[in-house]
Amino acid sequence: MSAEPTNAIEVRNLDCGYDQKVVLRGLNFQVRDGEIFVIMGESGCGKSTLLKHLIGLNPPSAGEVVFLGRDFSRARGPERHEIQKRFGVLYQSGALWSSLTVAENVALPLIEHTALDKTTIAEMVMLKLALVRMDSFAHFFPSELSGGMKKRAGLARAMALDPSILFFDEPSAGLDPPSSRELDDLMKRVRDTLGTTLVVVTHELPSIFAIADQAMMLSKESNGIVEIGRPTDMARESPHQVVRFFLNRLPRGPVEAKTKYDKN
Amino acid sequence: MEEVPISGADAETTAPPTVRVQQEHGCLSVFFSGDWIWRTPQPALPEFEQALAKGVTEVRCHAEDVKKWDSSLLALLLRLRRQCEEARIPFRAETLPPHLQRLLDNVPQIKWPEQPPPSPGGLFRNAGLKSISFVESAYRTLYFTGECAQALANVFRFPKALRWAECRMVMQECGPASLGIVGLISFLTGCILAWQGALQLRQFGAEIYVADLVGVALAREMGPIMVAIVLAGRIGASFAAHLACMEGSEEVDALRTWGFSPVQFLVLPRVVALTCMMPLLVLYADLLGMVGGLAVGVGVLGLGRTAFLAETWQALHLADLQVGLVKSLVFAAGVAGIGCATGLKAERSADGVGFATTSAVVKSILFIIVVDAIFGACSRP
Repeated sequence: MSAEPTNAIEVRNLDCGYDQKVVLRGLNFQVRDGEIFVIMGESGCGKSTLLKHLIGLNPPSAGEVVFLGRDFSRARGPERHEIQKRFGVLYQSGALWSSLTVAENVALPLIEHTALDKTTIAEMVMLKLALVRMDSFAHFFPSELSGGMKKRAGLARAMALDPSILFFDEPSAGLDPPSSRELDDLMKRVRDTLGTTLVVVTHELPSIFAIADQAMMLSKESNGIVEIGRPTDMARESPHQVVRFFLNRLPRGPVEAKTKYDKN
Repeated sequence: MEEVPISGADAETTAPPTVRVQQEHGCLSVFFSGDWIWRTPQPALPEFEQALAKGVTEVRCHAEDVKKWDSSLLALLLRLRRQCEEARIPFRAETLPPHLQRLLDNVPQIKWPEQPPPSPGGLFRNAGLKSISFVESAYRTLYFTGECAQALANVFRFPKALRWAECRMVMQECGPASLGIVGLISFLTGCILAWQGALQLRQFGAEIYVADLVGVALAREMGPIMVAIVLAGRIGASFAAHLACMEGSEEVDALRTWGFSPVQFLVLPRVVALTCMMPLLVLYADLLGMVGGLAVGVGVLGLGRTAFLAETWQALHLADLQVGLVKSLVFAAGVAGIGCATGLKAERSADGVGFATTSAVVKSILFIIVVDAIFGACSRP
């Protein structure tokens, strides 16, 4: 096997869409190993659609998604499962399984996918919960947790199998500023201590500036990538007005509404 | 490869993990080697626990021969460290891969939660709790029925208070969209009634009375009950699931904040729609059931078509149909009301929606059978 690739994710000529409608066309970008990569853009520009294509929930119309040197978009069967075990996803609401406790939620992937004994699994579960400071709530059910706690528990579950890549869908949505900041710090700690690559879909500016090594701006108008770079640099000197306006929180005049009945 | 980060374990090249325990002058050394990743089962460490109990003064862990590792090794080291702390024995992790050493040093203290105390049991306590819950549930049902009656009275005064658009949509779902399943079930019920009746009546040479049996049984009992049970499963469950999801996504709260009554907005259109549609479906079911009976009577039993129809016409009275239709009105209001009430008080979770749906169907069927029994008891033999 070849050495570990420098790029954790490579996306080549990817078309994303749903219901035979292409939302994003011809995407090309790379996420380096161990970096925090933010996908940003205004609501409805296709951030979440792209995420669904990256994690394989939606099949791409065209192009390929390569994780750690393996083509995930074409992989099927056991190979696909192998790649799936190498990444974790934190969904917007945490998406904890409501009939299981927090500890059981984190334990389930370990029980199903590993050959470890119960004691080691329990220890690993508590380790992951301690990393996100949820160890005291191990026996709680998701319905007994606040939004921030659900996300922290969801992160512990996403990290259950020590993934190389973690995806976050709007991690700050619905959180109060301290909790949002706490989650940002947690993401950085996960990257720094575990060396995990993080791909974060968000439009929360404080989070973008706090965590992103690289940020990618998507736009509805261009149906694709506007710019990729460091957010602080982009906010100051981006050649694209839409990027500067977005990162400096400037209004851009009346919003042109586009419905699904309008022609592209 | 000297070490891989916690996340870098790979499936293709793995050496089985091994551990060796060695005791020398009170110092217990634990040597790890191989690949310690979650894909491979970890070897057991019984000697470690035995040695701890035998007056060990120090524990040292060595992992210089470990090529690949992930959090399963970290978890094991944490467990060993905790066991040493509990036995008050110094624990030293020596010659660990630097990244693992850093992680071990920086892992926050894990607080193992205590198991929640078992809930107190006891026959009297449970009986008391069940009784309280029953009374509360009866009160809620009564309150909900009152709210529905009030909303309905309001509609008689102000017809625009009912959301007719939603009502029509639900009518479409309850009525025309249910014709296929109701028709099939009624036809087969008619066939079964005729066949089973004929088996008995043949002994007396009275097969022609199969027509009476099918006609009267369908109109008075089987028609309304079969339609009500089908609609309890098809429509009552869908009402419960729909309203439970609306409750979960705070749509019902939004109605309340705007000053709209959920009963007026959500429940009444459904109750009215189902109550309008059920009698029509019952008539349709009666007709299809009789066609089923006729098919068996003519096709299998060899009865004359005209004779069968004449016998049915003679046996069936308007009162039979009326009883069936009155029953269907009560069944419809009950099925719709139970579905909506169960949905509105569902917990805001996937479990809550599932429970509400099941509960709506079970309660509806129970309601149908009990009400039918009451009707039966009230009618003259």
